[in-house]
Amino acid sequence: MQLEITDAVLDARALEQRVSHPSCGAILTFVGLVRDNHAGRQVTGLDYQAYPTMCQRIATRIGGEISERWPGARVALAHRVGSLAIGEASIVIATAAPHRVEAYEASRYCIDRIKAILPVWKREHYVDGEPQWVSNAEFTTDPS
Amino acid sequence: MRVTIHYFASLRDRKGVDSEPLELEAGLTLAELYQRLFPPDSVPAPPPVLFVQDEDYVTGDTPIRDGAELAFIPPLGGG
Repeated sequence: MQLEITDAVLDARALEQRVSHPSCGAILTFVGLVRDNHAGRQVTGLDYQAYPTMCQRIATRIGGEISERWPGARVALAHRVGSLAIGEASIVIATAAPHRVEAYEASRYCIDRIKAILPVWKREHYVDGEPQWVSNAEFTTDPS
Repeated sequence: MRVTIHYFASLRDRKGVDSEPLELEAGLTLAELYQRLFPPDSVPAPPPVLFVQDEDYVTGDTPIRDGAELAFIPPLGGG
């Protein structure tokens, strides 16, 4: 799986171009956006931090898992780091597959795995109170 | 033995550095090192973590390898 960790604005169309292939009849693009609220608190912006070299290894691992489950699926992923404003894209996952069902399933699997094991962290800034590092619900201390 | 340790998120905020070299005795495990660097009774309490050696997730009872790149992974927020 191709992965880009970048502090530049994400380009969903460019990722779609990368996974597009004559054998694939569907491309599904997931875009994660910075939301203005979390757990009842008003959020003003986010900072993302990553362990970039390990992210590459984890992306390769997730890509292998996807290839086993959905042969022929092609996935490209881009994740922002640095400071993001409300409404900006934090992540784009472009998934091409022979048919739409595999594209939907592989895309969903990919984002769930990313939230559980991709070494990226998120700090929320609030209207009221100190910024806080926040955890994905998918995080566990069992990395299998 | 000599290792490099990488800090992220709240652990980086606590340490004030992105990474640092450390000199350690042989046989130490990752979980033991985490407790030494971030004592369980410190305030606020250290977060639960995953353990990483040479960019692979490993269990806390894994012995640290000489020359290793280590990291503790606090709760993730990617996506």
